[in-house]
Amino acid sequence: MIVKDLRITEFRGIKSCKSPIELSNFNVLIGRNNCGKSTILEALSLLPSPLISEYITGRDKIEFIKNLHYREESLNINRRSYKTLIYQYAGTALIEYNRIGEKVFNISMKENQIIPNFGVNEIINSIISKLKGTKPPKQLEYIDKFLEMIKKPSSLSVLFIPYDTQYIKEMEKKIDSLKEIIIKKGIHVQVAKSLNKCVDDEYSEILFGDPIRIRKIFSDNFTYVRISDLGSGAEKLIKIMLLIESITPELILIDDIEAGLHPTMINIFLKWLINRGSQVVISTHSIDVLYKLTEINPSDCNVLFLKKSREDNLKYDKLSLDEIEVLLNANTDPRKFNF
Amino acid sequence: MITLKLVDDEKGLELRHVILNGDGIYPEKMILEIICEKYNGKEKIIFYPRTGMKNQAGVSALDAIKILVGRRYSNFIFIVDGEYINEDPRNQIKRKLGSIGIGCREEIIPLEDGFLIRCSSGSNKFYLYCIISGPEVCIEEEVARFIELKLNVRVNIPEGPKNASWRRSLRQEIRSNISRRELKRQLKEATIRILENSFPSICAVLNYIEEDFQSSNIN
Repeated sequence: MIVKDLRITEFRGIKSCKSPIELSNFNVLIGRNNCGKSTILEALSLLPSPLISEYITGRDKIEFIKNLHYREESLNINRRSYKTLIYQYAGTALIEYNRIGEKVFNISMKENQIIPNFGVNEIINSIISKLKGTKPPKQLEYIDKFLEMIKKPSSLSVLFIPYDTQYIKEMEKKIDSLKEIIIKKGIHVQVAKSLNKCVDDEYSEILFGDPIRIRKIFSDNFTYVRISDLGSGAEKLIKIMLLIESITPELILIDDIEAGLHPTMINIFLKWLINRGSQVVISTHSIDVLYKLTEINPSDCNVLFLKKSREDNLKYDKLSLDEIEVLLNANTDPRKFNF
Repeated sequence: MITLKLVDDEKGLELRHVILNGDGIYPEKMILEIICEKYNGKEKIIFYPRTGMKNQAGVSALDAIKILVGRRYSNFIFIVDGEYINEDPRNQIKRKLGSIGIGCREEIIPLEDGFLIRCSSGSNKFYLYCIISGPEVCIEEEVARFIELKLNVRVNIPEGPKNASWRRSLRQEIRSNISRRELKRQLKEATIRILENSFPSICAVLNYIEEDFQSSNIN
């Protein structure tokens, strides 16, 4: 697990959190529209630093998030201003992350300034206190640990898939650049065969080039189909799987995971995500996702019911999959409760 | 005057009761909704957070109380078909509650074809209204009675042991007499008296709820 909890203050539509949002290894965010699901995913996506490049667009992560909501070309917004990401467009947004038991990272955001704080001071203080009264080689051990800790923030890989069909389209170039890794690992065949489990067609492998294609098998022949010409659900599944398999992010964030996916495809996708071993946070409105998760029953999985007060303060309640299953078995829809 | 309203979304409403159903949703939801409408319901909210799925959980649906009761919900209406009740329903439901750590605080108050139990789970206290449909096997028996009373048409009750296949046969008999859409129309047109005679347990419990038992009154 990468992130233990986070606290959001004055970021996007969230004014404050009643308590830190505690995360498990596999997390499902549910709640009414505009309750803060995407905001939590976006806040997490800024790890390890808002100023490093996002995988697909190559923009700084903070610019990428800003552009998801306000296309520069369509609005008269100062390109260098972050105020559109700040609650009610003024003041300071703050996101605090607690990783592996220690608060080592926070981001504060003003109209024209982003200040990522990697928590180096906290780490130095903690190491100094441990060094006192110790002798080599124990001291060397602590110094090594220190170096490892300050290195960690920049080495953490976080992938955020927003609910944006354009983003899925734009993945193609990145995936093509990763073709050697994909082919070496045999991912191009595995992903094509995974797709066979949830569509009526049969595919055998993915071929790279411009455009990326997939080999479609007929009873006595085969042909090549551009991935971008497949249905949007199939295209999304293939591209996300190829990307995640090749870059192996430690933290995977997917907004509206069910968008465009048939329940069988949701099932395949969830099983595959769970077996990745990464920390995962997804948002959904779909009861199919909840049903499938109770069937798959991954360990260390929780469903977070988000609720925002009229004053934009976020609170949440956490239910285990066992509890979700009990509610579903009682013919009640967990999404409808105001926990 | 009865002022109950059945909703499937509690947003912005002051919630009174949550329905738990051991038998899926049709036709219970339709009947409840129409009876509440008949009672001209506006104020007291009955929340039916139903799924589109049909799980026949029987008394296992009561497991949900354990999850909900600590989360601001304190009045429940449990509807279950008689086929899931193998003994005295009061004993069976009490025992089920006991198995999930819920104690019955006060004596069960018998209603006509239903009953109310005052319960506690830890420090949380709540009311549970129980409706046994049928009362022998299923709510379709009550629907058959309604058709007879409202349309003066006798539904042929299948012979043989009253089990799941008997229930299926009864459902087919009902469908051969009246479509779902027509049944809904007839329910809407029926008088309160016919509804109370056809669905006595549901009406008895709704009437009792009207006497304004509120969680705040539990000490």
